[in-house]
Amino acid sequence: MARRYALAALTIGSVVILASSLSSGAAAEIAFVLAAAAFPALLMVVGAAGSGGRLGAAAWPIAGLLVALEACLFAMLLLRGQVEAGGWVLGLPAAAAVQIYGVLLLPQALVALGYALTFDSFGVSEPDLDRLRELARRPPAG
Amino acid sequence: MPALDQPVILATVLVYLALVVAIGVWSLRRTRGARDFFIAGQSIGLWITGLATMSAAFSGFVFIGGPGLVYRMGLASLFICIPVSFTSGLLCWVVAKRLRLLAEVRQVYTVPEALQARYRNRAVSGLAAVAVLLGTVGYLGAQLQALAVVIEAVFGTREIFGEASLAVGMAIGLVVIVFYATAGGMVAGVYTDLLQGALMVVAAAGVFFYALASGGGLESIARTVSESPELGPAFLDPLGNVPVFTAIGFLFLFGVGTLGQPHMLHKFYMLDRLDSLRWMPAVVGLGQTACVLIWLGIGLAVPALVASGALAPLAHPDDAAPAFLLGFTPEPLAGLAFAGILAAIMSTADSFLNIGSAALVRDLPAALGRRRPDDDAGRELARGRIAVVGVALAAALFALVYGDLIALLGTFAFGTFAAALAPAVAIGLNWKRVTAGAAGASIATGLVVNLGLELLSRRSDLAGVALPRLPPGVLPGVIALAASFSVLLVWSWLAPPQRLDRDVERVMEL
Repeated sequence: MARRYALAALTIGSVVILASSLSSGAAAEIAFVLAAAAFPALLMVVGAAGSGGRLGAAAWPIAGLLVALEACLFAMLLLRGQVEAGGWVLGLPAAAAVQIYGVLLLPQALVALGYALTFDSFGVSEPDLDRLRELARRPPAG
Repeated sequence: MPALDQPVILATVLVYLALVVAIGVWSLRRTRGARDFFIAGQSIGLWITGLATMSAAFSGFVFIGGPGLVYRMGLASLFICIPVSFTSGLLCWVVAKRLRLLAEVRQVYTVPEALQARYRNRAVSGLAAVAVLLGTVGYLGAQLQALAVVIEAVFGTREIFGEASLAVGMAIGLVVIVFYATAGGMVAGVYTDLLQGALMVVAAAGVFFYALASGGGLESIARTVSESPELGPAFLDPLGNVPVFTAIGFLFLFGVGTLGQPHMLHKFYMLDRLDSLRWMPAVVGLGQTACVLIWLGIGLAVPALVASGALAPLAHPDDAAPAFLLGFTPEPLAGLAFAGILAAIMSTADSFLNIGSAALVRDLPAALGRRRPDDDAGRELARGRIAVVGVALAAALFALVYGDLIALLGTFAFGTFAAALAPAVAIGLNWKRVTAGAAGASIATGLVVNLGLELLSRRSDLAGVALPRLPPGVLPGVIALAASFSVLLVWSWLAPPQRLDRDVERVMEL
C-alpha cells in the first residue's frame, strides 16, 4: 500500500509543482516548497517498497529525510529576509545554518546510514537471484 | 581564466595527464569485447563504482562555476549542489537495484536498452536515445570548451598560438581523453575516474580548509560578509538574493533530475555484485559532499576577502576559484586543485564519449530495427571505438564552430536528461502500470517542453513577438520535469496496464 499512496502523492505533487510554478503569491511559493521537498522521499518509497508494496525498515530513514527536508525548507521560508533574527548557529546565521547543516549534512547521514543499515530488508538473496537467472534462460511466453 | 605560469602547477598537471595515459595503456589489454568496452565487464566493486559515479557526476563546474555563482548570487546558489545530500540514496533506492538486475537477465548496457526491455517499444527507446545524443553533444561540447580554457591557462598556449590557442588546448585535451576512452573503453573510464575522483576529493577538502583559514574561520568569514555594505546579510540568506522558485527549483531539478542522468545510471550496470550497493550512498555521498566543500569554501572566502580589501573585486565571477587558488594557497595545493579541475572535466567527458558511442552503435540501430553486429568477431568493439572518435570530433567541431550554441546546450543538458528520462526510468522500473504510451509521452513532453522553453527564453530576435513568459525566477527545467512526471503518472493511472516479459516483471518485484 505504501507504494500506491506514494504514487498518488507524487501525482498530486507533480501537478502542484507545475501549477504553482505558473502562479504567483505566497500560497504558490509555500505549495511549491512543500511539494518539491516531499518529492525525493516519495520516490524513495516507490523504489524501496517490496513486491507487496510494504516499506519495512526503510520507512524510518525515508521518513526522517521527508521530515528534515520539509522542516528545514519551511524554516528557511520563515527566516527569509531576516537573516539576523534567528541568531547565529555554529558559525552561521540561523537561515544559512539550516541550509548547510539541515539540508546538506543531516540528510546525508540519514540516507547513507539508513540505506546501509536497512539494506537486508530490500536486498536480493542469492536464491532469488538464481531463480531470476533461471527465468531469464526460459524462452519468452506467447 | 588568468595564466597559471607557475612550474609546480604545470608539473602537477603533467604528472596527472601521464597517469591518465598510463591507465589507458593498462586498460587496452583488459578490453576484449563490447561488454568490457561499454560496462567494464560488469566486474567493478563498491569503491571504484562509487568514486566513478561521483567523478562522472561532477564536472569542472563544481570547481570553477560554483564558487563564481556564490560570488554572484550568494548562498542561494548552493541549492544546485546541496541535493548531493540525498541523491546517492535516491539513485540506490529507486533505480540501482533494478538496473543491475536487468543487466543480470538481459544484455543491457545503456539506459535506452533498459527502457526497451521494460516497455518492449522501439519508439520509447528511440526517443530516449535521441535525448541521450542531444544531451551528450551539449554536455561533451561544454566540457571540451572548459578543457580548452584550463589547458590554455596551465600551458600558456595563448602566447604561442594566439587566436588558435583555444583550439590547440582543446586538441591537447581531446587527444588524451580519446586515447584512453578508445583504447580501454569503460575499463579505462572507471579506473581513470577512480584516480580523478580521489584527486577531486583531496583537492577540494584541502582547498576548503585553506579557504576557511584565509578568513579566520567560518564565523569570521560570515560576519565579514554580513557586515559588508556591498554584500550585507542578504548574501547569507538562502532565499534572499533569488526568488523562491529559483532556489527551491534548483533543489528539485538537481535532486530529482539525477534519476535521469545516463552517465550516473550507466555505472550501476558495472557493479560486480548487488551487495556492493549497501554502502554506495555513503561512498558517493561523502565523496560528493567533500567536493562541494570547495564550492562553499571558496564561495564564502572570496567575497569576504574582497569585502576586507585583501582581494580586488573580481572582473568576472568565474575568476573566484583561480584568483583564490593562485593568491591564497601554497603552490603544490594549487597544482593539485588545477589537476582536480582537469580531472573533473575529463571524467565527465569520458563518460559521455562512452554513452554517445553506445547510443550510435547500439541504441539508435536497435530503435531502427537493425540487428547488432556479432560481438564474437569483435565488430561491435571496433565500431564502439570508431564511434568514440567520431563523437569526440563532432562535439569538438560543434564546440569550436557553434560555441554559443554548445554553451547553451551544455547549460540545459542536465534538465534535458532529467525531464526526458527520470520519470520513465524511475517510475517505470518500479510500477507495472506504466505503459509504453505513458513512457513515450513523458519522454516527448520532457524533451519538447525543456528545449522549447529554454530556446524561447533566450531568443532575443523575437523581442517584438508575444511569447508565453514564465513567472519571474521559474526554471524551464523544473516545468519540464514536473510536466513529464505529471504526464507519465496521470496516463498510467488512467490507461490499462500492459503485459510484461516474465523476467522483467520478476526484476520489478524483487
